[in-house]
Amino acid sequence: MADYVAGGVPERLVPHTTDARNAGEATVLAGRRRGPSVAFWGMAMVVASEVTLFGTFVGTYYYLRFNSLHWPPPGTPEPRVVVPLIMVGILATTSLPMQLAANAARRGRLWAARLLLVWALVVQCGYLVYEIHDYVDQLHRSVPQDNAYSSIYYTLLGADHAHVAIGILLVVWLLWKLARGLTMYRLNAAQVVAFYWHAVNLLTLIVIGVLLSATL
Amino acid sequence: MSETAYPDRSTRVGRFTLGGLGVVQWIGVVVAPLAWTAQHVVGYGVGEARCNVAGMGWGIGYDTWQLAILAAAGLLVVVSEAAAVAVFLATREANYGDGPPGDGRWGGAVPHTRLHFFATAALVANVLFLTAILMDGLAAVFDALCVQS
Repeated sequence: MADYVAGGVPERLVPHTTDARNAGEATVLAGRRRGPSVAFWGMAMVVASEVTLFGTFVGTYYYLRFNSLHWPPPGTPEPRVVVPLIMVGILATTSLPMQLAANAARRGRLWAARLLLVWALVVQCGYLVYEIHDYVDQLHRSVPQDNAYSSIYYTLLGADHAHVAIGILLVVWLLWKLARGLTMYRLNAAQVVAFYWHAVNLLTLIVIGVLLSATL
Repeated sequence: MSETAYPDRSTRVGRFTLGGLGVVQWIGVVVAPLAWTAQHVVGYGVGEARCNVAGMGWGIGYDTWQLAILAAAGLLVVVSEAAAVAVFLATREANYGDGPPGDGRWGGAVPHTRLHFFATAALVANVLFLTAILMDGLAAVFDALCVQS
């Protein structure tokens, strides 16, 4: 093994990240870090691919809009404004407990991290339940096959809801892992899931902004 | 645990310095997606210029433009892949973990680990971007021009 890996010590003899098996050890190791973990960079790549996906959707939305005389087309209901704005505002507030949970895990305060995650999870689940109900309700008034506007509208909104759902699953998974204590990997996971949530919240703000631009 | 100095950017890693290897790593990661984005946007612009009423008089050689853009983007992806291979080989003995904490030198976030991680990801992703570029460019050439699908 080259010496840059383990200071000249054969890799098989070097304790790895998996050896930080409790909150105290994980906190000490996190304090020595000089940069983001590889887990963070991995999530950054995932977020970059999501940005590409949503960028394509948003580009498609405006391409269709600028090639249409009427937007939305006659007979298609305009998107509601007030409720989606309130809901996205509520969802955006969950970035705070998520970040506080990641910070608490970083300091080894496991119970605080768990409680903050539960707080965030309750709000996120409330948001998603309402949004799914609203999505189904809208499908009773228009369907994606109606016209290009409806197609891109439901695609954008559905993709965003799917990302919120994935984020909720990640929070549930993280809570399950943290229920069994804190390790370095779980600390990494707390920071990475918080980062993903910030990205989801930002994407949701952009998606709602794009969809509501039809009312301008 | 004995603390040793964090590796300096001038530390030699094979034929590169650590700082230089970082630059090569980012070339491996970002050049291919940027090339694809540029090809797609410029290709779309060429199509718009060729098919719109205002641009029809410009005499744009549509296929020539698309093939030239395809070749340029493909070349950039090859450069990007070469950069990823260079970083992958230079750091192939790094582990995928978060650094070896027990030896107390850097406490995780070892630069080589990040470099190796990104090089591995870029090795795979660049092949996908090359495929996307080929499909994008060839579809533009072989599809019917100025006709809505």
